[in-house]
Amino acid sequence: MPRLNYSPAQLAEKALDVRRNVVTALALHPIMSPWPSLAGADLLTTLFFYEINFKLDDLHWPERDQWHVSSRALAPALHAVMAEVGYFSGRDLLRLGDAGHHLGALPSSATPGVEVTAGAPGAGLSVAVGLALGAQIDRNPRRIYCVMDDSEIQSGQVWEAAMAAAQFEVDNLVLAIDLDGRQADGDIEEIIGLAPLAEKLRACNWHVLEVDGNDVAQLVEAFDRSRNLHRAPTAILSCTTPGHGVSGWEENDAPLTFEVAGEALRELKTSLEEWRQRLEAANGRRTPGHRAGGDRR
Amino acid sequence: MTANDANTPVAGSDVQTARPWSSDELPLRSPGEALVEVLVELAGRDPRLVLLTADLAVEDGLLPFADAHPARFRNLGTATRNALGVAAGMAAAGQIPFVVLGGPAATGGAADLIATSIATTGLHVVIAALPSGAEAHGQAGTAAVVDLAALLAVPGLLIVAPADAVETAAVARALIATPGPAYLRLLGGARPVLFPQPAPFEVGPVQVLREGKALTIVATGALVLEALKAYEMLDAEGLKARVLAVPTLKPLDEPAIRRAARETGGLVVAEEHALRGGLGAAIAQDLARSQPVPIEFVAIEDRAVSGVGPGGLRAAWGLGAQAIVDAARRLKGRMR
Repeated sequence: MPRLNYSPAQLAEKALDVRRNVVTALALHPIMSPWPSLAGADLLTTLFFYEINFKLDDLHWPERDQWHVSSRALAPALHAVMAEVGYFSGRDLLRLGDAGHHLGALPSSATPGVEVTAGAPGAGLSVAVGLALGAQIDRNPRRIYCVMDDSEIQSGQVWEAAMAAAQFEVDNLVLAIDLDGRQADGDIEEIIGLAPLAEKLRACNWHVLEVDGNDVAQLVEAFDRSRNLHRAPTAILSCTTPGHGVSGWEENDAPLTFEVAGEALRELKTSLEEWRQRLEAANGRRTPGHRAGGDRR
Repeated sequence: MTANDANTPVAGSDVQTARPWSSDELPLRSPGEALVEVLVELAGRDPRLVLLTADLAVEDGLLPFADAHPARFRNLGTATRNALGVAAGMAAAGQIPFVVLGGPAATGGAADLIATSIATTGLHVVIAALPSGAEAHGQAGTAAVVDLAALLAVPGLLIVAPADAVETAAVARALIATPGPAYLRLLGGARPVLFPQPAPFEVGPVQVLREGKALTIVATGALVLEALKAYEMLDAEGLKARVLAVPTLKPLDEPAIRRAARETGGLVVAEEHALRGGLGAAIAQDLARSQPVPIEFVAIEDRAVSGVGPGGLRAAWGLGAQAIVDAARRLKGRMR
């Protein structure tokens, strides 16, 4: 049972836990803004708890799917999801950003399960195309998932990689882009706009699916459809709201203060102390949490 | 062991050059051709080996590989950055990507990707710059002579610069057998063969090509040949130089260079690279804190050169045997 295959109701519940993890970890270690991760929490939750094949007790299982999270802005969400899956303990998540600890401000191969450290913004799609080409050459049926945020799409290397993916017809590749419309300096469309992104990718000979990225049922449907799209890679444009699930990001578009985090966790129906204790108690990879998750369906 | 014992083996001295020696009599062979021959052979045995390039299949002579192993050859067009990222992904998928790029493209435009997408994760990717050094596809601006300034600072990256075609083949075998990221600085065109006897390449040690105690000439890449010519010219003046070839630029064989500094009292470092940030700078930094001696540099001075065609760059930059001899004389003047 290598896919967790959660139902939409279970995914929505899990995404709530992931958001609580994000806010708690970033309240204790305000190394970066939580709002992109709150936007992308549903996408990453669906990727790990529904879509990908993996074995927690054998991270290099040859039949596993491979994934690469290129986005730095989404690193807290990735780490929050990985803690829920059980790649590492909840206590690890509470040490996010500690000097010398494996969890930092970008996805790093120092973390169990992360195969390639994220590079410069926009560099990750090339890595994913390489993973996809590798599987294609080896005739390995695995699928490859790349997660980027919309600010990365401004980088020219993305388009180099997009053209190569189409040229090599890597239909084992899914690029999921979290489109929350924001980047460090403000609104993306006011800085260097991406619109019309779907048309641009289609013009590069990609399959394109557009979904509400804060609706796990739509994300599930998009992943399902992507498995039946052939002879070209698939992009899932996952449109989201910054800080989804928590109000007030417009006034607080910055690393968290305890006050804002407290408010956010109240909205997420918990408290900093309650959730910190839960994370303290959450075990990592040595427990068979993976199988227990799969049995829930 | 003393430097006077001309025949005493020193670390890395197993490489024999023709002796008596004249550069005119050396056979010519293309390092690029030798590389592709080895890759074709190795790919026949190891299904993990893949060859990637960025629109250099024709110019760099990679087509024999594409013909022999079409499923394991990919041309990424001129998109160099993407080529390096794709190589990272393929390595993470279990392949061994060998990436042939133009020198300046590999390093000037994409050095950050070698550092971030490849070296940070310690992926087994070999990046070959062909041609590197003063041999450019076009003009001075497209010669790869600042690559080391960027790449010597990348932790965990192996950097090797073979001096001829035979050594290039041996280095390629060694790097494909050595897990981890590597950068290969390759000479273009047909080059005199300095090391006619193929021998397994050992990553790391310097090669002692000539024994002597008056001074040490340290050279890498294309300037190893020039250092051997300079040895003959200095010998005619009664000056016996020690000649060290440095194929492995990182990690640098610091103990052997310190020993040469201690035993000969002064160094000339010769390289086809900018004065700032190359082999000379690396050696000077190490010796400054271990074995301070006078050092002279034969490298590209910090001034722009324009209007010079590909064949004329070496001369325009003053990189040759005569420059090494001049530097040796300056050095001896300082050592008095």
